[in-house]
Amino acid sequence: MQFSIEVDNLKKSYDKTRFRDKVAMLFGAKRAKNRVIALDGVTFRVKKGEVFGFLGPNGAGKTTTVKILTTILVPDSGEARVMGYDVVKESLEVRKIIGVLPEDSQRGFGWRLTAFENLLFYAYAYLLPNPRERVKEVLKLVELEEEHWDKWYQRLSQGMKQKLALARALLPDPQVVFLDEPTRGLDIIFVTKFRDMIRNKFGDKDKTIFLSTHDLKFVEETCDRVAIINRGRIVTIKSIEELKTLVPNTIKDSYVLEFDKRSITKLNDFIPKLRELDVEWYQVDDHKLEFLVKGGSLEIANEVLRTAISCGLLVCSFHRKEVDIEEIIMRILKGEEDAN
Amino acid sequence: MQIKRLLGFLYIDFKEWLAYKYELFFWFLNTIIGAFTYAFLGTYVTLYKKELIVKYGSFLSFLIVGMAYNYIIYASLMAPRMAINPWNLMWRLLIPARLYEIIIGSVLFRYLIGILQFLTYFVVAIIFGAQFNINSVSAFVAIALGVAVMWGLGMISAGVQVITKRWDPVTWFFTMLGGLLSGVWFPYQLLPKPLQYVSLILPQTYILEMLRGAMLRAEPLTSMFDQLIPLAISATITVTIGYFVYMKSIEYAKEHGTVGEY
Repeated sequence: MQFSIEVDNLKKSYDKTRFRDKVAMLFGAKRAKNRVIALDGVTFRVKKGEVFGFLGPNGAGKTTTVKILTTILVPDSGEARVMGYDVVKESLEVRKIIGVLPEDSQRGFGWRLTAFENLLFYAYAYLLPNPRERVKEVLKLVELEEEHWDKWYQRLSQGMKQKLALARALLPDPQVVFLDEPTRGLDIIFVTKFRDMIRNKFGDKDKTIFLSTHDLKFVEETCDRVAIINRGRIVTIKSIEELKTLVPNTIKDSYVLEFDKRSITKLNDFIPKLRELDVEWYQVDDHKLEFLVKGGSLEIANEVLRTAISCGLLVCSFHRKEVDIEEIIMRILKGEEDAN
Repeated sequence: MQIKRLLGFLYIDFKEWLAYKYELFFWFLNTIIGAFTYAFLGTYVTLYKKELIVKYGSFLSFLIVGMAYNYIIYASLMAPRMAINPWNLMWRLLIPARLYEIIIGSVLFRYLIGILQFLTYFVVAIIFGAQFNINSVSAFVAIALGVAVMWGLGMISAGVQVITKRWDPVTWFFTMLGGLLSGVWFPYQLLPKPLQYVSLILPQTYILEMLRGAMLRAEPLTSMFDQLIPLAISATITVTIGYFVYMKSIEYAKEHGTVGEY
């Protein structure tokens, strides 16, 4: 099987008609039904063993998609399969092979049960062999220190709760893991480790990871491919490298020169000279100059640097601008909005 | 049905129950005080109000059967709604188990606690001289039918709550009327005649009559057709409707995206 997740023309809308309008309609009043389209023909494939990022602004349809794929929500039409199982007709089979870290990860935990007891329940519920051993394994995997295993859930810190939710998702050793905003509440040290865990696919190269998050840096560092969804439609599906090629030259071939604020008055001498140096575009922001030279030439850029110094600007740093994933996605989404 | 999975449910409910130490202490205290209160009350009424309870042997025995109803059978009405609440529902539904396993697992512990409470009352009642004349088969059938009827109603109630999130007219209706009119605390025949007609349409009335016949007069099933048949019919109807309503409510919540809402 090549694909872990196959989604075809998935559609979902919600009835948002107010209760009083529904009652009025029962008595014959003519009111317009208010339906909100959450998914409008979503189609994509996730390869087996892939780390797949699912990005989009709030209300784009990310959570609706995740809910459908995890069998919590039924689509209006279209098909979705996880490891070949239909999420509606074979939901029980799907639930056996997935692990879920939902956005609202505190649900389903007993607040007066310890971290260990909470997971032990799920180990029983999933009919795992050697449940206690498995619980210990995943608690160690997510690096929840042993001293916290016997603490009530409600006494764990936000980060520990998130680790426990992650442990719950990994407990049944799922073939497909759905992670919705997994880095929320995690400290920076664990986020780095967690990034490595995802890159290693939790020690199983065949594990597929479906990652929905707003943490774009995290996506850039972990995902093989990324789907961008907006207004219930997939805008694009590309690898991070391919995404970078979509960005207009004004972003990816520009240079940034940062100078000390004390020398800002020297800009008056420097800016007029830019026109003589084949600079096609520039922008000054506080103590930073961003500029684009013809053909992205490094030689011309260096000439600009020399000129800046000769004009008396105190240069702190000079570099080619890194393509920023957040900027790329913002531009893709903006382009899509403009097209609509 | 996977026993290991049910043990998992029992485990968390038991652990959570133990976690509330003060509540646990007062639960034991309430059970003991309650048992002695009813034992005392029953003995007192037996002494001074003999004419009320001739049919039932003693008022204490009468009350204890009411307790059996309250703790085991009435619990069936409340358990599905309390156990499958919207806070847990999403995670319960993510477990790779069939819906009936999830429902049974979620309510099992409440039954065990109900039986434990009833046994406490039962033992204290015997200490106070209550006499029982039990036909085990009839008692088992009465309890099984009672649990089934109430379970069905409880499922309807839980189903309604999955949609409305709060409002639960089913439990309200049967708790209000059942407590007053079905004969939990006193024989329903003591009610004014018009109210007795209402009693006769409540399944609880038949459950209690059958239970008392089985536990106090050792009546065989063959002599309890007046209760057995209506209860068997009610059980079939309520369990079927209850399961259907609950399944449909889950479908509704899955279609409307309200599984996790509460």
